[in-house]
Amino acid sequence: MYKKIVHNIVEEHYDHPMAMEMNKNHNGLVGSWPPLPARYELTNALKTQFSKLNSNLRELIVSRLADGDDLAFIISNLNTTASEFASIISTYLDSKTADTAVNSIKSFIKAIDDMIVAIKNGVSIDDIKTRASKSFKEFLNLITGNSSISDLTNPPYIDTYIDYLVQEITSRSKKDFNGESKAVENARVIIANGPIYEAPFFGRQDMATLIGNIITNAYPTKFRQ
Amino acid sequence: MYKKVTHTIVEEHYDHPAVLPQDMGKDTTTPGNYSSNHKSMAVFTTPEATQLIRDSLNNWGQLCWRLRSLVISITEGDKDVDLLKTRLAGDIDELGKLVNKVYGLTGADKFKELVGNITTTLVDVLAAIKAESTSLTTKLRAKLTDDISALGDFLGSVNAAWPASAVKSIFTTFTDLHIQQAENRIAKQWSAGVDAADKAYNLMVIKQPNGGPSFADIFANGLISAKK
Repeated sequence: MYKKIVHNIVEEHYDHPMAMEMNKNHNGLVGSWPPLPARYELTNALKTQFSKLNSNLRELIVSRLADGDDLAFIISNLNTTASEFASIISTYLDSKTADTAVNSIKSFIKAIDDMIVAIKNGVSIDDIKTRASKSFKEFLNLITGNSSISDLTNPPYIDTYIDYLVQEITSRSKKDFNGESKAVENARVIIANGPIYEAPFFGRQDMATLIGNIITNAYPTKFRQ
Repeated sequence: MYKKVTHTIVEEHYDHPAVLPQDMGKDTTTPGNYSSNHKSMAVFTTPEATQLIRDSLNNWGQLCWRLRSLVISITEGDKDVDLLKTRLAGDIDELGKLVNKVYGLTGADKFKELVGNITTTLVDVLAAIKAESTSLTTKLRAKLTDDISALGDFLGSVNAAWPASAVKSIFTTFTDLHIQQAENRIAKQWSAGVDAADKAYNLMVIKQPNGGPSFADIFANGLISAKK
């Protein structure tokens, strides 16, 4: 079946002081403008941004371990990627909170960079891992408006993700490219490319999707269905 | 002041597969002009369809990431190129599994072969650029064009939601952007390289420059419409 529908829409704009009076019989509903972002749009934006962060971190690992010529640019680019989170966060939170959150994710990036250097130099990374985990949790607390992030700590999404980053670094530093590749793929799945089938996640959504759900549940009036 | 504006909006609804070609006459050869508004581009929300869309986005995203890693490793002379090529073949296998759900093993094998030809030739082009072999680069780029044509013709022949001209145009842009990345990295133009990588990823996974659906969306919607 082929169906053709033609809509004719007539706008009438009044500029007269009595325009509202003249128009009162229209009794039209007033909608929000600009339109609210949809829930899925937030989740998609988060998935894209976390995926980008993860790819940028892998490039940092490759470049830092090889003392690459592009190292300074990669660090700068990572900070740009971190700053881009602000435009997502500011759709539902104030810009000051968005800026504080961006600083937290930048601290996380710095911790990962310090971790690469430590592994390269054969130094313990225990304290740095704790710092990385703390910064990431701070970031998540901020972007979710201090909603409960227990879904992200049990099972331990954040620490598992950091463990995969550590595996990427250690494997590549030993030229175990197969091990590195598997760690990169697992890290991608955890952060933005779920569902995650490995234990203890057993089919749960990726971190970005869960964060999107937490945010849209915490701020239902900021998003349309 | 009083102003009256009249808008006329025409909706066209197609409900028979044979009607789809009527909508294919539009120019889809211009980069950034691949969007289609026929029924197969509609959003389907069954759990199976949602899963297919998500798998398509994830798997094409994975392929983009792998190619980006290959660009870096080839231009830096890293030792993991062979491993990345093997993993890239695995990524294409995952995409093939999606095709298999609708077109069976024969269709999936053909799809994997044709996509594999494109990525293999693209990787060879990148290596030739790194080796500064102009004649080989030219020869391989011609082969890349042929490989892209073959994929476009195949997809266009099996599914009206995958018009050959659009597939060819998207893959030409996509591969060109990877060649640009390699050239930019060799010239130490890091920012331009990342910009090209982002554009390639966006084209495949996020959306087209004109706001039209990404190739991953087109791919998924084609599979969904064929499965109905």
